[in-house]
Amino acid sequence: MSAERWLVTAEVVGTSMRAQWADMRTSPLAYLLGVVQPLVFLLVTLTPQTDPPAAEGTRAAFGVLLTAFWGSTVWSAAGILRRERMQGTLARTLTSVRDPRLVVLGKSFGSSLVAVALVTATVAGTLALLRQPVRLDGGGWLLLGLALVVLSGTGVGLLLGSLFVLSRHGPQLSSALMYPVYLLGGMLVPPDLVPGWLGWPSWGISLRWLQQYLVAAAGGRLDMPALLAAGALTAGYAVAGAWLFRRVTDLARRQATVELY
Amino acid sequence: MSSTELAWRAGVTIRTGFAEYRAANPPAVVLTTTLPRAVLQCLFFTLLGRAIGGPEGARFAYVGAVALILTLATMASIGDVPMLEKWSGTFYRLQRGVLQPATTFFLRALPWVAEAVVSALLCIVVVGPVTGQGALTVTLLGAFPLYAVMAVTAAATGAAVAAPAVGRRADVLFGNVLAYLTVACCGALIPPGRVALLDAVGTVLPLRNGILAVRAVVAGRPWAGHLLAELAVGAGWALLAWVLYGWQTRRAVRLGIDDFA
Repeated sequence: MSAERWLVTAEVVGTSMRAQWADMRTSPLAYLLGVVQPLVFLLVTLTPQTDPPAAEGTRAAFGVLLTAFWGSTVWSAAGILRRERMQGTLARTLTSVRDPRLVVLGKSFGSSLVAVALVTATVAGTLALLRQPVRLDGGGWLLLGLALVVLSGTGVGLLLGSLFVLSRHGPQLSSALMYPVYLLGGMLVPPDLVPGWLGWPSWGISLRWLQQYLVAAAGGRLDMPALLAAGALTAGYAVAGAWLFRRVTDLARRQATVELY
Repeated sequence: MSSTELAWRAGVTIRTGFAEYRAANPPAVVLTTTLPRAVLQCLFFTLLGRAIGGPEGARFAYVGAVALILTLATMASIGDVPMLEKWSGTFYRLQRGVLQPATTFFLRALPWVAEAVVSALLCIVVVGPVTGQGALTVTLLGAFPLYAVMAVTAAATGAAVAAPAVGRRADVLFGNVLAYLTVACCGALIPPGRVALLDAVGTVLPLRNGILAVRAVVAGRPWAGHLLAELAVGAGWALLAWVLYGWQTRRAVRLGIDDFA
């Protein structure tokens, strides 16, 4: 790809990110899922326990971070294309000169960045309020893990966004997609508590490996297999999302349902 | 107006409410997303209780998690009832109607109460056996009327909180904040006595006394006092909703605005 093309690609992605940030500023869901939900989940996880040790505080902090991040990602993915429809820009995006996937990619990335920032700030503030000790060794490895969280959310946003093009029941779908991952993602509910026959899907959820990696990194230990698994799954989500998005939007254009819902 | 005519008008309003509900929530969507989401949420909180507090934690969380399911329809979603008048621009018709707008909203909210009751029942019969709490499942089935009462008190609260939100297009924010506040303060997952502030807020919210009544049934203790307290809290919120909708209506007539603006 030529330098000019790279620049144009970066411009499209950057503009999409800024547009998403502008939308999120006026959306209550960003604050509900980025502030209220992690606050309540952390209270529910830590306050029933009597003086939980730093290890438990660390596990709960990352569990809540990833859980709230997933909730935010699912709702953002639905909201991105729904807002494009409401604003009347979906058809133009799909038929533009530039690849429409760049727009969804930019918006998903922007959304993931904001979600991680909001949730991290909320978790940190709540831990301080509760005077809950945590252990946060391995600074650079932790940042790497958080960066992978953002990328994972971006890939999932592209994948899920495709589903919402064809459905008018985006909110219900989003709602239904939250809890399977909460349950099977190994974040707040350890995988060994889930009935055995339900455990295998967690192997395909990047957040499960990110939870494992982040908790290990916070304890000063590098869990490379978990990092690689999370990275591979993230790449898989992005590739699948890019492929599915093209197929789904072509189908919607053939069925003339792009602007209908 | 005779009692026969009142009954007819109430019946038409209730049927309209169910028609509105079915239009926004087709049976296929309810069966494949709404109800499964409720069951998975209940299972998530029950397993979270087990992760935090072992088998006793799971028992505690299971009783409370079933009650929390009631908030999905009665707090987070019930704002759709008055909002539909705003979206449709038909509130002026309610002003000229025979029934008070508050009465109309209460009657049209019945499908949401029904959804909450069905969701809670499904959670009891699925989550209990799946988590190895068969005996407690039978007890909760016997105490199910208490959950039905909580569905009504929660709906009254949701309706009251939706009233000031409608004119500000903040129904999603207000309803969900109320739901999350209830999760934190109603004693469903956080035992009373852990955080004084949460206990204090919980005394004026629905579900707290109802959950205490259910826990009393489980423990074989007197529960009638808790039930009366729950009914009193619900009645208070219902009265507040009546006052708020009445004030909004008179204000709309006086200022010549028709849609809670």
